Amino acid sequence: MRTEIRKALEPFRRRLTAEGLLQAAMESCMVTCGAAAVLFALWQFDLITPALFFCLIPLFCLGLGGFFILHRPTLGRTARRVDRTYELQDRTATMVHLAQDEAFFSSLQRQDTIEKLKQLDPKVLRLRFTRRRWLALALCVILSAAVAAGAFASARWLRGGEKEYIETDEMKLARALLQDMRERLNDADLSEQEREELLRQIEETENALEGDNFGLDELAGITRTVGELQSRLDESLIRRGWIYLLREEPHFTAVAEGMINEDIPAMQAALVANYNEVMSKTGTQEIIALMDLKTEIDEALEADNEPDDADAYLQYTFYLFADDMLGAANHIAAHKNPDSVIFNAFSLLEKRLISIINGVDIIVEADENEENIYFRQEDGGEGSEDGSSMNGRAAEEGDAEDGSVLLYTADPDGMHGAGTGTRSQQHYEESEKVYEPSLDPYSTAYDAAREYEFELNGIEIENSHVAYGQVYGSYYARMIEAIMDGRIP
Amino acid sequence: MNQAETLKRFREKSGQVFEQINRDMIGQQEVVQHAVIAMITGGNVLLEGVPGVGKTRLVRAIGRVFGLPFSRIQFTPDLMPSDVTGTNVMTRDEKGNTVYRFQPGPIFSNIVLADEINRATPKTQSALLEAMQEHMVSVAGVDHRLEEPFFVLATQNPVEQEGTYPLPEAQMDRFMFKLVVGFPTVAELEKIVLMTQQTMEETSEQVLDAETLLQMRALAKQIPVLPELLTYTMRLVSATHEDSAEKAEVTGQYIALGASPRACQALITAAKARALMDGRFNVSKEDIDTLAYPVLRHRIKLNYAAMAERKTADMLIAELIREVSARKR
Repeated sequence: MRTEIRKALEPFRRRLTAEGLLQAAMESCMVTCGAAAVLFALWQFDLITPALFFCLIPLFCLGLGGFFILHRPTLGRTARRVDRTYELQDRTATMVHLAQDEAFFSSLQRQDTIEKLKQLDPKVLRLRFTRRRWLALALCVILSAAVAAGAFASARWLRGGEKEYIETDEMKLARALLQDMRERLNDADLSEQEREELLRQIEETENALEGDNFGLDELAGITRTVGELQSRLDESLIRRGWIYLLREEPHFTAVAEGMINEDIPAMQAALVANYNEVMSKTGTQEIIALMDLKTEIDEALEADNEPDDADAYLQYTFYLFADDMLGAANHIAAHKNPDSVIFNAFSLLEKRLISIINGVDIIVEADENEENIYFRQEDGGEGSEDGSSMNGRAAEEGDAEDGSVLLYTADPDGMHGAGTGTRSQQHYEESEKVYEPSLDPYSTAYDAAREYEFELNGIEIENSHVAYGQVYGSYYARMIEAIMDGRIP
Repeated sequence: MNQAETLKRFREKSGQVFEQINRDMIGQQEVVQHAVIAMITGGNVLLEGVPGVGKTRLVRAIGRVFGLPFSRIQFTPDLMPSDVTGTNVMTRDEKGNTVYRFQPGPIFSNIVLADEINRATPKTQSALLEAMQEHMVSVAGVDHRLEEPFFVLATQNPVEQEGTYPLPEAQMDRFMFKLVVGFPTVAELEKIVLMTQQTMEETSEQVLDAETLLQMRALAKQIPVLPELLTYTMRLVSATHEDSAEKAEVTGQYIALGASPRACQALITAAKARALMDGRFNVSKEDIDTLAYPVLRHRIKLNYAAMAERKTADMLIAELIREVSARKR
């Protein structure tokens, strides 16, 4: 019985099958176009490979099968469609519903309907494609085409056609760094082999920057090379001592040159210039830069395997100087005026440098425990009876009984080094109360006539004394002059 | 007579039934068809129309065509229930003894025309309505069964509402159909005038008899209905209720009271008969939609908003059909 029904509906079902296939193809095409648009968009930003586009073919086939299952003409759907098209008033649908019913009227109804179906022309059943479906398909195709066009256009601009050479900021920086390294290479204390090797790497890196085929990966590699070259240069400088680091700073370079040439006036002038610069820029940033210098000095002290006494004392002098400047930074942080601290730091630095030039060493001896190091000087002139200190001050707590001033202590709870800002500030404050600035370099207020003799490791140096007041006075005269000129605030 | 023979006879005679009725009735084809459907299914009909449109003539013609005795009850305000149902009268038997004998009222007929039912008192109305429902009359504690087929056509005048007693909703629900007999068209009027100028007599002839009618009634009940159409019918009736999930948009706006479950029964039963008369062996959606009007128009009560906007029951039924049809089957 069911066979009879299927047979009666078969001509109509064939037409609806074709309709279902076409509808499924349209909808699958929509889905595939949507997926293609997504793939093109991802490909435009290099997120996928072009091989992924081949997946669209099985996607279309899968969609075709899936949508056809949804649209396939079952007996029930065919019956309803026939009833609507031929206005059979639910005859066919009722017949399909009662296919297995053998009641009198069910059979009667089935026969009647089959008879009617045989009289109908299946071609009257037109394939139905709604306008909305066509519109949706057109929109999907247009969207996909638009995204694809955008992807192809941007791909040509990025990859194809003439290669445009675009210099980025990173490339400019790399070139500048390489040029700087070339210049520093000349000043670096390196063996010839090392110098040639570094120069070769610099040249290779510069050539790579000039190339046309330049991508982000290549730039990253060059940046790494530049960094490595810098590190090697820095290591070579540190290895030879901090004095070469100081050579990078123009003023301190002049100080070093003055010392090397034993040109005290030149050295003093350089120190004044440094002082002026520091004072004109007195701020945390500049002070901290000098704090960094202290760190470098520490590292240099550790790095220098076999310093001689002169080197050691020189290093230590600048270590103390940097420590003094640390005190200035503390003053700034405490919203105090660091002028006196900086002034004292430069003053002490000058004295020690001069003593080195004059061949004396103020690092004399350590105590029994080798924890405290004293410098000792002979009082060659007027001065206090209880011994004298370099600064012309009274002995302070921690000083040795013979008047030697504590220069350094390993005891962190003890007194600071003689060159610390704290003690300098304390001294200056005391000085400020007692002394008044004077243009007279030989003013007794500064014990100008006092002479100090220094020993270098216990060895008395002839004519090793220097009129402290003379040095100090001339230096201070220049300071006053600088103040009057407004170079020092 | 077996089903096949009955069916064959029905199909042969159904055309003749309308042909004969149309000899006495000019126009009003839909009213005639629905009245015949109600006859076949055993439902009662409420006819509404202005005077002179052929309500009484239609009932007479149906009675003649189906070969069924016909009685007419003119409802007036002074009509008593016993005037409808009958009463016990005192009489003498052969021996001269006084006995009470039941005198049946006009209701004891196969076809009863209750003319202007809304003019009688509610008490008299209820006597008729009880008989319509139970096909039985109780007088002095004695039940008297009415002969089948029993069919009531009640009429009411839409004008002249003064001094009338409108039927309450519960009693209106007992009528399967409410048929509105409209005013004839000019062409129909012309025919009516020409026909009545020749003769006022009714010329329709008998086509079927009571037994055949009952067989046709049993046959119509077997017409199959698709489950989808059953669901559609239930949704259509449920849509008239405001608290229903199937509520339509117009329901909340214009309908104060929805149709009862009798409406579903009436729709399906009538649709089967209509399908059979149409030569089909299945109920279609068109049957349901066409019969929704006579089945529902007296079962839904309109609110004042509908009255204010001059919305008729037929307009609302059309909206209900449109809205429920648009939902998924």
